[in-house]
Amino acid sequence: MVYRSCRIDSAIAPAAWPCKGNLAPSQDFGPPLPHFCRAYGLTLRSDIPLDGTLAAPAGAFDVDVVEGPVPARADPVEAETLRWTGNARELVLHIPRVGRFHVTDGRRITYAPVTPGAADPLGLYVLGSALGAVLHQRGQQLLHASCVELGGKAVAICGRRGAGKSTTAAMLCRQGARLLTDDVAVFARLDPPWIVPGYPQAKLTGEALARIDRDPAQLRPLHGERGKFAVPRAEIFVDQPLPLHAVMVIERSDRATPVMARMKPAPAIQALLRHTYRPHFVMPSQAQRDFAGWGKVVEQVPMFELRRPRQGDSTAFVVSAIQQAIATIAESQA
Amino acid sequence: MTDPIAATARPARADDALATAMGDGMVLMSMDSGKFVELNETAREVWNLADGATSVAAMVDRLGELFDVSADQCRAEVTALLATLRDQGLVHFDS
Repeated sequence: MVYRSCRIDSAIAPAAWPCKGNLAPSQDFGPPLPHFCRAYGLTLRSDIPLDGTLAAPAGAFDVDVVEGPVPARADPVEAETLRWTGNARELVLHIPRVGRFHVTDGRRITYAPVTPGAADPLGLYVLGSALGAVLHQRGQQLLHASCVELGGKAVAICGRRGAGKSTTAAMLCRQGARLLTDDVAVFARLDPPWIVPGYPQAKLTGEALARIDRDPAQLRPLHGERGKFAVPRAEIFVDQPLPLHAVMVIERSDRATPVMARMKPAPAIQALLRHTYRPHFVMPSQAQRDFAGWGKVVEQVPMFELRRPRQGDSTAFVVSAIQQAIATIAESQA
Repeated sequence: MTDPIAATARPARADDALATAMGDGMVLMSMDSGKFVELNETAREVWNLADGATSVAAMVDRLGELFDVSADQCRAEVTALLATLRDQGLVHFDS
């Protein structure tokens, strides 16, 4: 971000130099140094900084992130919406007012920003939708879930926007759990299911921040996610893949009291499909593989549904219900 | 209500049907309708036999070899299952 808008200090620049304005450094000083970082089990080489990720040594990488020309459409188009076109190996994504992204072969993200040099929201979309497309192209299962480590294993907490995933994860961490991933659970393998670490940052609302005694004034508001802040979580981050212990599905319900129940196989698969991260990036030709993958998860990992009232604060119930369910599973497996 | 299924009909799994093993059974989903169907061990055999070439009569014979069931009961249950799968868009009959 900073190096892209770096200016020559007028005090040391020769007066005869014509003003070039806010040019990308590549035009003045050669290509910028790439950033090497890690997220979701992948090493990325990126020409823009990807905020919140773990630094990685320069060298081998899995995914290249570069600015460059982006085609208008994928070729061929297997599926599309107004925002994107794609096939199993390629996705072209338009984010209004931010830029366009071309994700290919699960190895490369090419981006064309609307405003050259404006790196700030770009990185968020690289780490979000674009990396989601990369992982789908690599054939991995993705769940829109927060994951914490409890008793040495991962617990995935999924739910729609506003269900309270990140808040629940933050509260579990306050009581001794560690954070594996805040937003997307990526499966490293399925026999048995393991989850890879995301990166040490959480997206939390001001309300959730208050619960964990953090001051939003010290934090950066997130682009495109009103009322949420990027919270560094390095101190509680688990940087290793973990076997998946259980999946918790949080739903809002009209009932006055919260309830928790073990899910049967078909509703469990249905829930995993509903909470897949960027589900539409699973192309029709990949749907059978993805479906069978969720079948494997449901066969091996217990799933629970937590219905919490729309009104009122049921966070304490949700947190203790998850802790009790995990303790019960651990006992039965001991 | 729905068309009866003839013994000579040859059911075929729909192209947009997704399937996954679940214990001894299976879970199916129609991509088109989003509907889910759970199959037990015997229903799973019917699904596996729905290859577009095997007739309903041949299915009933095969299942009679695999499971301890009378021919009449087997025919009735296989036909009922196939009707359900057809109504959910999971199998079709191109005879």
